[in-house]
Amino acid sequence: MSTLRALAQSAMLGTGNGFTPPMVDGVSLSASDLEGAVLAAAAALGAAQMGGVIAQVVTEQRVPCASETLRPLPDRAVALLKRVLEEENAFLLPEFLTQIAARKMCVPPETVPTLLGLGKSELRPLVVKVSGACGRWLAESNSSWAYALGREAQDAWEHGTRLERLAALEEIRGQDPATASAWLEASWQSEPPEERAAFVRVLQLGLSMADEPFLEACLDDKRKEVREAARRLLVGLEESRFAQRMWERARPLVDLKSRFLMGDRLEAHLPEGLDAAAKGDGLGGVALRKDMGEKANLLAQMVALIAPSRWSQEFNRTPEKLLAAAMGCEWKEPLVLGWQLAARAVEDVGWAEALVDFWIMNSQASKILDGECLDELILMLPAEKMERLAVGAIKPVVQELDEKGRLMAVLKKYQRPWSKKLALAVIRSAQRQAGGSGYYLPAALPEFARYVPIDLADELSAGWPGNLKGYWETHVERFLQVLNSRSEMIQILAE
Amino acid sequence: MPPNLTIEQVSSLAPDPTALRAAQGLANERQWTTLGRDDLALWGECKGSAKEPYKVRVDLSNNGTACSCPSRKFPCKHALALMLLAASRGKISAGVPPAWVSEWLEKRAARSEAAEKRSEKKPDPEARKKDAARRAQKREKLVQGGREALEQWLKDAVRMGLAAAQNAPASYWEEAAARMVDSQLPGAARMIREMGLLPKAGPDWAQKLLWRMGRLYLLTQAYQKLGRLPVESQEDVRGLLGWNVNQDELLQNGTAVTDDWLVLSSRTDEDEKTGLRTQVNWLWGKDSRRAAQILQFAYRNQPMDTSLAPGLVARGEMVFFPGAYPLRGIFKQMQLASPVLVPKGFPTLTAFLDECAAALGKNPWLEVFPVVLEEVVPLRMGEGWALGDRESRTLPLATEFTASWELYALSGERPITVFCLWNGFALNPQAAWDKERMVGL
Repeated sequence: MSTLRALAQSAMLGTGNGFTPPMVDGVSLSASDLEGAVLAAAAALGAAQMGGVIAQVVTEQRVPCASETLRPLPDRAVALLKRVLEEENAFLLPEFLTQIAARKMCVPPETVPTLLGLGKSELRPLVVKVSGACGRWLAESNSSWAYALGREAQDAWEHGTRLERLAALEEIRGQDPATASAWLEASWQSEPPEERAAFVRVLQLGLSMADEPFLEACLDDKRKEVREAARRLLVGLEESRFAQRMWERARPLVDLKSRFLMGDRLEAHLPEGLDAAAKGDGLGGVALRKDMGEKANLLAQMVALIAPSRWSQEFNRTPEKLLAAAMGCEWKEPLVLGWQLAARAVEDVGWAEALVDFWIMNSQASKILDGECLDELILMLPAEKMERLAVGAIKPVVQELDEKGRLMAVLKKYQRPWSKKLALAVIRSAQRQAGGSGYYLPAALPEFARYVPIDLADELSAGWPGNLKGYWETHVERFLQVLNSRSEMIQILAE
Repeated sequence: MPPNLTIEQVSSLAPDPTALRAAQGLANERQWTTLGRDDLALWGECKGSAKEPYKVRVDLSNNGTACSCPSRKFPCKHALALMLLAASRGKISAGVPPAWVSEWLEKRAARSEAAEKRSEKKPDPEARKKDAARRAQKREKLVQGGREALEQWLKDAVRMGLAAAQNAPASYWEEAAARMVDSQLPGAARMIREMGLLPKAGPDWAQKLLWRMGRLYLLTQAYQKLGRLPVESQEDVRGLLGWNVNQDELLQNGTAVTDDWLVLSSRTDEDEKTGLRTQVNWLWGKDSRRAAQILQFAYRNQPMDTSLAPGLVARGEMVFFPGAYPLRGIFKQMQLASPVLVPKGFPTLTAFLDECAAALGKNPWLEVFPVVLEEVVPLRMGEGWALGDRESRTLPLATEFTASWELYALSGERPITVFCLWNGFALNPQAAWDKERMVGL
């Protein structure tokens, strides 16, 4: 114990309060002015301690970081990256990292710990790429960054953390689906039950009938999440036993009546009761919608577990036509809701487009469709579809983008890169309305600036009225700022 | 020619985040009808809501600005945008300033000359001396009273015990500090306030607190026999208690150290109560291999001089405030430049600790010891971190230092140069060098 520490310990109790002098060398306290003596001793001991520090010898095996093979970022890009990591324009990060990775560059080492520690798992593959040798080296000494170790997939699968194993399984599934299935089936019994569902979801990649027996077996798993994940995949395998069973249950309940000159109409009957097999296939259970009766819910559940394209083929109608035909049906709610959920499960883009159109055009749609599911369908829309929607709805001066309309709502949810035509149609319409009474439109502009094509930056920065005030002024400024940051980023990476 | 502005520098000039955001939107050639720069100034005409574009001017010698817009913010978003444009290299090409720029610059120059003349003009030296003597006498009386009260307060604290001090309310420290301010001992007041924060600041608080009390007690004793101390120590004691040094006299009479002073770190703290912002800059002399501290002050909204940006080199003459181990300095004159420079410091931890011991021998009140360490490696030591030198000796890093992983990543377990502040217990790194690139921590 240092003498200063000993003195401090004694001094915890005051000199008027049961103080006993410390029993260490080098401290003698005169009793005539005990307080002064304690204080003077503290000053002397403190200085002696600070001046007398000896750096201890520690020998350690050092394993230095391998030298970097990627190109370093230019200085100004480093400064920008640090600002992006610290400040509010963190939205630039995914685009920035993508650009750095595409140029085979690496970030400076002092930013690697922050990047490795980012919570977002979707950024991880990018982070691993741009962290280079430094990232792999750091991951050796911090287990929470193990995903950056860059181990061989098999090694990672056998010895890695949960996230590493998921990434490894995904990697191998992408290259060789059969091997991935073999790995998973071999270790299945020893996998912790709560992690099995995530592994099943990986099989979506390269899904084929070869996976059917395994997935069919998963329908009997103890965990609800595993059964759900397996069902969702089986819906997409039309020849699976599961898909056949579901089709046989639902097909007799629905029929298309084609009436001369009066268009099509769908007719549906509600299912009667459930047998044990149907329950085993996930029917029954929690209602999809509280405002539908038990049997209507059952119909919706069945339809939600059948690939929607199967109905289009069966009746030889496009999704649009089927949706229109369903609106004449007494049981339109369960049918349409079921198709919507099924379209999401199998990621059917054609159905997604039809359903979004349906939501935009049909005033009853929002009562039937599930909002959260709709947001996911919007994200599935191809860029050309968005372009067609906007170009079709906006007629300069005659009919501008309605800030309270459905198209606007779709645009806000569509957080994906925009096409040039889409950007020009929407932003030019905003420019013609700028300074007017808008509220939602100006407020959405900064967000839009993230998704417009960056080579349009110059064109989209021009064309705003010069005398904007208040709400419009602040949001247009922010729009320009986002555009500027993005084009600055591209520019300085090229230096 | 002054070095290029950096985006960080411009950001620090902004009066508030809104102005900076607005400026970022305007930092775009398309918003400007004219743009130009020369060695002394930036200028440009920015499209705004008025019919005529706004005329924007920036004086590069001190980042002073003017703009024809009606904004009350200073600098306004247009001036900030112009500086941002200049900071992104190559966006403004050199030109000849138009009349509305050169006239403005001339006026500014004339005004600062006039100000200099005014400060040169001095009232009758005899009267000034008398005045000063009377003030000094009055202060002396106040200070003597304060010194006695301080000694008594410290002894009372020891009599009460550190455990009692640990549980004392904030007012216990605040009132004592306020008494010191009234006695014109602001330095002692600062030390008492800092003591009040210690009981909540970590496991070693008791010895740190007792040590500080001891140091302050030593100060009261030293002041009592001030005349018997060496001249340099007298300056230390007076400076610590809160006497100000007349900077004009210092610049005239002090001896200057000419060197290339590399700016290593710059931190600004604001005292929430008084609104006083203090900027602490640490610099390192290339040839003199010594540290220098430059302090700058500003109240709440007043702009702070941010020209000493880390990484820049101030080439010029530094005068140190008198003391037994001088650290604080002031520039007599300097010019900023941005050459590549990795400072030379101490080759081993032992060499640095020897120097630190010698310094303490001269000034026992030293609280931090600034040091550039060469060829050290950050190491993980159980839960904590340390720096190891070429002799395999180590010193711990401060627990409050939050960028240990960053420093570790920077080194890759290879020796690097690190600038630290040492407080007798642990090292607190402020900057490090990745080959020739300086990285602030």
